[in-house]
Amino acid sequence: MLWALAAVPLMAALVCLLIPRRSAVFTWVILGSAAETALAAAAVSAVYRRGGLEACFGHLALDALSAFHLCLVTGIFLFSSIYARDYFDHEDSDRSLDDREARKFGALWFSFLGSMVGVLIFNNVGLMWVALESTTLASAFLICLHADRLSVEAAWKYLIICSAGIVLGLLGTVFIYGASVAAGASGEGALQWTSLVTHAGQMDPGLVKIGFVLIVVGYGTKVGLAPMHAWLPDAHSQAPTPVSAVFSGVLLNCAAYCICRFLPIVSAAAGGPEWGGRILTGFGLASMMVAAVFVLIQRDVKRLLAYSSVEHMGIITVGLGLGPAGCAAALYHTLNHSVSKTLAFFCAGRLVQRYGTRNMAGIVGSAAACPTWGTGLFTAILILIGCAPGAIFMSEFLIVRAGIAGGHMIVSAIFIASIAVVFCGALRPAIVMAAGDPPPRMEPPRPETVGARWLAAAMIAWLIFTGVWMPPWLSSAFDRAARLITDP
Amino acid sequence: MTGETAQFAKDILRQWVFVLAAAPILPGLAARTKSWFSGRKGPPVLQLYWDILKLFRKGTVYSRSTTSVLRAGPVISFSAAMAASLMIPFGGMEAPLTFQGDLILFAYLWGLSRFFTMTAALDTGSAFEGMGASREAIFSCLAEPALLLGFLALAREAGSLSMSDLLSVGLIRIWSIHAPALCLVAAAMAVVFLTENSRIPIDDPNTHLELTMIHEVMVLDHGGPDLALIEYASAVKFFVLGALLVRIVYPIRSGGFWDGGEVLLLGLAALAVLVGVVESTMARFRLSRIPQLLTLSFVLSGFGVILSLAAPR
Amino acid sequence: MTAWVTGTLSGVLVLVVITNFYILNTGRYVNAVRAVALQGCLLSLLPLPQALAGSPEAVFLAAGTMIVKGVLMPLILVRVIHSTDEFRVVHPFLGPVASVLLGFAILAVAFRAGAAIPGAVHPHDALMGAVGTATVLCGMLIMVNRRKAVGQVIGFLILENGVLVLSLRISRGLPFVIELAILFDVLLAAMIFGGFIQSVHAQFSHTDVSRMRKLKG
Repeated sequence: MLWALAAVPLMAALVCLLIPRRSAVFTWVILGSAAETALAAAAVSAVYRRGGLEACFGHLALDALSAFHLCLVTGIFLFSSIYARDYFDHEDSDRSLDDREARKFGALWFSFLGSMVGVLIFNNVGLMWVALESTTLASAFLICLHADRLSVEAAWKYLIICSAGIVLGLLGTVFIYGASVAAGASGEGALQWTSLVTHAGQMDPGLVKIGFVLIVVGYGTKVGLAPMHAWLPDAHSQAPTPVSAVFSGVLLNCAAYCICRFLPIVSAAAGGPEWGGRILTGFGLASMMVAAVFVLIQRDVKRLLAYSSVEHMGIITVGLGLGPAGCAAALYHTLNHSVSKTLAFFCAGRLVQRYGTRNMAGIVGSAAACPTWGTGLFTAILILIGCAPGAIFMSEFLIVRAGIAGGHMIVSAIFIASIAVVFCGALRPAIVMAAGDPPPRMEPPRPETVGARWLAAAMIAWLIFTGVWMPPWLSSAFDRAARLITDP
Repeated sequence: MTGETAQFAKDILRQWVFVLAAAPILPGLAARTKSWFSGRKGPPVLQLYWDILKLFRKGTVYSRSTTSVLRAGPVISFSAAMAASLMIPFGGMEAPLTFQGDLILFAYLWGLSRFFTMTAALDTGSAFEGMGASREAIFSCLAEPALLLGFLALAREAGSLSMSDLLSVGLIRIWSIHAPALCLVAAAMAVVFLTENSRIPIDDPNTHLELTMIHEVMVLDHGGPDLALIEYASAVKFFVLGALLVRIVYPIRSGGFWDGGEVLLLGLAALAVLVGVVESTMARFRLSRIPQLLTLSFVLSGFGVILSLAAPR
Repeated sequence: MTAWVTGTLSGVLVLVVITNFYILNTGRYVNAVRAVALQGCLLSLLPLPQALAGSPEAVFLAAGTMIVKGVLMPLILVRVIHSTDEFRVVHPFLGPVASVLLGFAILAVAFRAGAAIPGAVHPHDALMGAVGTATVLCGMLIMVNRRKAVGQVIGFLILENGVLVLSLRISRGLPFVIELAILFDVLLAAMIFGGFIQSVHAQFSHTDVSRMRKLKG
């Protein structure tokens, strides 16, 4: 089954190159993503029933943590594939895709999906690195699908900063491997996560600590942690919106997942979770503060959402540093952020097409002009900044509670202050964009497809539903995944 | 006491006679190699001896605007070169003049000579000579750290601060264990050697364009015995710095003073031929590239120091 | 381990550092690429002890490193340089003299840091750690100190080479399969970098990254 998970996207990518017509490519993209989602669902249910899957002599494995992320990746990819067809249909003719570009899009889209699934199902941290580097390579061309100056600039920044960062991640992996070999593991097993965790207690703490810092800096570049976040707003704002949604919704999580994998190792080697936790909370708080400042001065709606991603990745990282309760809350937050940010990008992308500008001052009265996407964006931003019935309010509350319960008063104070700043900074443009009268000379909207409307409604309903009441199976899934991070 | 002093005087005299007699042959060899490469017959190898003799027989003319500084320049640079020549051990034996820390004296004797050459050049008040002096100042202040760091690396390996110990047969053992560090130091020393002797690719001793010269332009206003002293001093400098390089690369032990001198002279002759080859095959660097080359040589000898510091002992 | 192997390895490592300095100093990208090729070939000599111990995998890996880092990647870069017509290092943020001196400071720091890496066994281990660290830092220096896209890619490749040296120091290299996968990935990265530089050139008609400043804040 794990084999199939890896093989489906690759096959689908190859098939994409053979499809002649653009509409057929998009249908195939949706079908392929749906197949992958179905496979993932089957694999995940097997994981929750049996406790784990393995294949290929232990090189491929799926446990509660990666199963959670796998669900997220494939689900968001399916949503984005459905959205992508609408999005590119509504794009102006000069910015839309012709048959050739559509084939390229499909192939890159599936290789991107495949490499992200690879990150999750490789049990070997070396191969995990290879897959993460492949995500960078596969997605760089997606940013500049329409090659113009700005998108090429953004894509180049993304490529060079993330590649350099990820090489540092490789160096960190090398250090951990060195510690693991010295602790008695050998050969290929010395890089397998399961054996790393069992040997972690005997590892040289010095080597593991250097390695962990390098890994946080390196993979953190891809997570978008400040001060290595420079690529993130550019890439998110210049990429076609379905790509931005996938970047924010799952790519950042995949990199954060890689950091999660090393957390139990450093906890065991350093003799306690405090040391690694301090590093993560430090980087997390720095990202939150940087994002809080930059959210205040944004004019471009997609950049606003990008800085909000920096903030939320900071929140997740702080949560990971706050012990078991914090980890569970951070995973909950990962889910909430992915869904709500994807929704926000969906809505923002269509509004940008409708108004012909990304400048928030130009997008007024969107709730009236474009009911589905205008209200959708408003709701999504309200949820993102932590308004009460939304799921993000709940997960942020749980993280703060974990912080206060653990005695991290200063961390909690900075955390709340940054959230408050972002709240004010993002609420104002959200109101401006939603309220008021639309500009007079706007052409009447083209009818939305039913699927798009249902998509938006379902995502909002899910976000509010899980904010009000978390089903027990969901919370037990978070607990099981969090236990893998804190105490495998 | 008197016997010791007499022996000391005899050693010094012997070394001086040897250096003075042998030194002028080396630039001649380099020039001969160059002309062989370019298909010319070239000047006789012993040409420099005749030049110096001829110059000594001439009178001198001093500009009325100059002071005694101009007259001091050649004398001091010649004596500094002669003093430095006393610290070179022949054949891995003790040099006539040796004490702990003499390598610093060795490095700064060249500094002294350079200082007076430059002040003499400035004393003439000529624009060209001032320009040459300023270039000499820049390049030598980049070459000097390379020389000193090279000495530092050698001193660290030899465990002594005296030239005679540095260049003793102990180098053979050091070559066998720390070859990379010694290679770096030798490469840096080679660049220093070329710089100090105003050779291509740093400087072109035979150019006819004052704008591009460094060393030669500084001595344009000297004539007669002064010029002879300058020429002699630069031949001695070639000999002494060349001997340093030869000893580092080829630290063989040989019998006595004369045997050692012979071996050294053979090495120096090879070096002079090599310099001729370099000069015929390379072009002079642009002036802006020279600091880059000298920085690289500084970094090379610095790397040698780091290697010898880091080596387990 | 025999003395001559140790000696050869030290020599190779010293040469790696010298290629770093050369790349910091040189004013032409083609020369820098040649030095990168030389560095790649030198790195392929480093698994020598394992190869002498009779491990066919080490021989295979050395050949792979030689082909990918010594031949293929430099070829890609040279083609990119020729197609974008940008041969010279123009106005780096630090001049050649300053960057070589900074490289020297980095080297000195790296020797302190390299000695601090625990788990040294062989006599040349300290040197290897130091050279790896210095190469990683040099690669970063070159990445931030070059305006042209090609210069940044050269810096990236040096960074990667430094990681390879450090991986040999820390753990005698990663497992064979991983090492091959990484090699393949880096080759892919170099190809994609090359393709990208050409599209940057097509859009901007230059590849001066420092002049791409439209996206801010």
